[in-house]
Amino acid sequence: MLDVDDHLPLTTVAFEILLAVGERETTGYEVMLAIEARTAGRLNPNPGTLYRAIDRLVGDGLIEVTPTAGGGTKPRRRLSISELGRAVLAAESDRLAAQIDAARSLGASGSTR
Amino acid sequence: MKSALAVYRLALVAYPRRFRQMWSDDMVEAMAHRLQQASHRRGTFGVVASLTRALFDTLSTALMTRFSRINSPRKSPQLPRQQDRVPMLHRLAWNLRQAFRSLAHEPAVAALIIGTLALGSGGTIAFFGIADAALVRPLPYPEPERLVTLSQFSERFGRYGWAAPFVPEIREQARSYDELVGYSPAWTLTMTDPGEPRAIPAAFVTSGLLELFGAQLITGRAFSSDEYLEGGPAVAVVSASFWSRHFGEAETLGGQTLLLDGTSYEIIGVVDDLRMPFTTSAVSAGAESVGVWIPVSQNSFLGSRGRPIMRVVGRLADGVTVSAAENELAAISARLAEEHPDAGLAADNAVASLADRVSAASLPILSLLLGASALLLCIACANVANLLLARASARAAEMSIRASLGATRLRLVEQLLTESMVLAGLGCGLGLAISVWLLRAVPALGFLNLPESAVVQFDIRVVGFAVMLSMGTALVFGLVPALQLAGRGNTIAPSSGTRATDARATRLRGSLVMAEVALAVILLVGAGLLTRSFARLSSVDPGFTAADVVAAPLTLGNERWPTSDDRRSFHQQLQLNLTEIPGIRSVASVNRVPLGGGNVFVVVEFESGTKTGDEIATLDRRVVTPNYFSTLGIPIGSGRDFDVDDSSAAGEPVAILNEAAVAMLAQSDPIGQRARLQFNNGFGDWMRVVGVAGDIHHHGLDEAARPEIYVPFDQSPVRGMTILMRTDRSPESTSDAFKAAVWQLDDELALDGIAPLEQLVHNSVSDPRVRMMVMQSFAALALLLAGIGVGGVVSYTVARRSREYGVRMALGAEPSEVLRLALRNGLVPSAIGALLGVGLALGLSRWVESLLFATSPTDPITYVAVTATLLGLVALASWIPARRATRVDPVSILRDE
Repeated sequence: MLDVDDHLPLTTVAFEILLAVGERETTGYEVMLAIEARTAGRLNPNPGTLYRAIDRLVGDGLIEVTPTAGGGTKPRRRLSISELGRAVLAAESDRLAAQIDAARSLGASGSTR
Repeated sequence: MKSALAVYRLALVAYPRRFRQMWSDDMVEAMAHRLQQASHRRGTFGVVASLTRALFDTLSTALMTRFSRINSPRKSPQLPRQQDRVPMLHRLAWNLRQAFRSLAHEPAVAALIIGTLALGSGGTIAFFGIADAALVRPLPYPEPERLVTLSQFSERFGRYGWAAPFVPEIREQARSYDELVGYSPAWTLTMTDPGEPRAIPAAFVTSGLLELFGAQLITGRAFSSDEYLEGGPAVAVVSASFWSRHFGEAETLGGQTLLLDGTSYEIIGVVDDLRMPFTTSAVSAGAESVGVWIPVSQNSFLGSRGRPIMRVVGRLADGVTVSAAENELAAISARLAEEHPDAGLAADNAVASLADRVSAASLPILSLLLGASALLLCIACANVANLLLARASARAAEMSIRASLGATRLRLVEQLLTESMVLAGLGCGLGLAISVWLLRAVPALGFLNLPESAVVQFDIRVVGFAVMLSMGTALVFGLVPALQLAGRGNTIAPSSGTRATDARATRLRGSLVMAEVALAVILLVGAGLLTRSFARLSSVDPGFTAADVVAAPLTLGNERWPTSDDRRSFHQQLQLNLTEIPGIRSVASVNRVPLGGGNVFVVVEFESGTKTGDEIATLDRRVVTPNYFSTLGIPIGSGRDFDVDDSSAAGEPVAILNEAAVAMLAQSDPIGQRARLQFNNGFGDWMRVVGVAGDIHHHGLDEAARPEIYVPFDQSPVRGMTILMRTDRSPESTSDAFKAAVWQLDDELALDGIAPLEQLVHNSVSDPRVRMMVMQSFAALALLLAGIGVGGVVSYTVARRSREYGVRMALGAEPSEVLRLALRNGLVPSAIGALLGVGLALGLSRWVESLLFATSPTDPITYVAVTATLLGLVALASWIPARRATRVDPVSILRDE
């Protein structure tokens, strides 16, 4: 298993996926809706980009997949965050926060315009 | 929307199987949601845009998923800092991904570029495929490079073949050939069994032909040597497709026979379909290929030494050159001429490569079309380069950032070229799809004069050419913008372009416009010349009135109508039956119908001599019934028409000459002079010339009338005649009434090819018509692309310089002045390009010369009209965006400053 730092930095899409999955167990489709809602449509990844990112996160062990569950006509894969995933998400949030703090201290924040 | 989703589902195949199994259902669901949103917001356009973006995204992420499995299982793809150590494949994958991404950002621009390239490349690929099949590929026979044709040559008839009896004699005397054969390919025989009476194409051949062309026997045997002898058994070899068409799945020969022109031929063998090396004319294009081969000994017509219509093909012996073979042929021909002084052997002979001779007919038109489509592709490339340059300005900031992050110039060029490659690949891929259709449709139009032996098909060579073409076009249109962009990478700030680089880009775009307009002028001149030539051609008076005349060819069989009297009585009776039909005003017959593609020529002796001092001349021979001239409206200038008493039995034989024949004679008044025809066994009876008929264009509207001698049918009752009916009825009902009347007399006659005479006139110019139309479409596309290109440049400059225009107007410039300034960017390079194009077109014009009729390749009216049209269109295309320059609001511009 790789160390938490080996997974940093996360891409924007990966970060958003971990945020969505971290909230609750969910499906890829719901992840897409959640990202759309959270970013008010600013981030709107195409299905290819989204699922490739999910696939990598699954491959890296940051997300776990429960094969089938739920109702509807088709079984959906349910996604949940792993322990490692949670740790990476936290580490990435810290990393970003540190960067933003640094930017603010130099007066480069968006609110000053 | 359903179909959009289906397309998306199909595109998912690009992913590795594991990935698909895991996610494809979810992805389709997500896409459905996407499409619904898009449709809700922007309707169909939204769906298309969304689908386009998603497809690019799919391709790029699928590529990454596949490549990342090979290279790096973990890290997401980033621009590696130490690029030299990065594996080639990974770098390619990264570049590809970037390319797809950047294209997905601007789907409209990408679609415009891909569409332009597809239009340009489709024709080029298709005409490459056709030219490859017809001109480049070796003929589909064994050792094709050693095959040569032997022909005679005379001023009057050009190049022609040999009489059948000479073929074995040449073979016997010549040392230059391993094998030498003759064939007469263009026979149409009436088959009455099996099946309904119908016309089928057949070839009469000398021994060794099937072997020389490598025909593969499927069943049965080839001809034996005694079957080639005079009086040998009537046997035939047929092609596999002929066999299956008429005998179905039967696998054994079982003594099957064909009843052709009243003779029963036993089928002794079936061979794989063999394509004979000769050119099909436009009239017969799309018709059946020759499927029946018969020993030449069965054809008594061909047995005469005076009928030099066999094509002769030889396989050169090892080490023998064409010129050595030609020298030998000259010697042999001189010997044969001494032995057979009456055979009229020509003094000149030629031996030439069979491949060259076969491709000669289609060479000019194919080079023209290939050249035209390549020009169109160049215009498309110039257009795309222009679009990319415009994009390049917009991407200057991106490049600067990349450069400041450590990307080298090489790296940037590499990435930009990858983008061009992707565009070119997609464009040419679409072009390839267009070419698949063109490859099927174009040869079927018949105007290319393709040889029978050319098999036009979509194959690996065509695909290979398309791949090379896409690489080539990517370099052509991609390199300049790439160097331009990468060059500024290290030098300028991310936020804006500098005036110096802008000026350079503007100049570059100006030169592209110039090139584009110049190339368009060449295409337009080509189309203009063909159009003018066709207009002249179709206004030629054929010399007869084709309207309301229906032509119906028929050939009387040997068995039912063996003697001359039989045939006379058949035609007399038919004439009576037909004139009784209401609506048919006049009926006549001729052995070769004008513009019908056939001819018979004959040697004629004139008692009073010709202008050359000889008594003998060669004339076209027409056998006609009495009403022929009045039915076709051909004027009788002096003397009289034939009448019913002009038969061989009653009184002196008579003939009518046309004006072209009279012009050959020593004495100006031909009426009352005597002439006689040369036959196999010497000269016929003297005939008295009783009239002079007007000239008609028998061989084509573009060919001058040839000397003709008309003789009455009763004097020479030949088997094959075409009945001409001037009628008030529709062609269909005339045809039905005609068939009924004929079948009353003989229900075994094949009645194919009944057509209005106007149709024949129309068909006779179908080649130049289609040529003109194809060139016109090229020219129209070129105009369109040039318009888009020039308009784009003006629109771009107006956008870039709106600040300048604003300042000028604030300082008091008139709107017209600003308009002139904006127009200048499009019009100046266009005008220079047009001049350049006219110069180039003049230089290239001799290429179309052979396709023009009564039109000079430097016809000034065409050049002026074409240049004016193009410049007018360019002015319009510039004016539309230039108007925007005058609407710039100086106040808002200055406020932004």
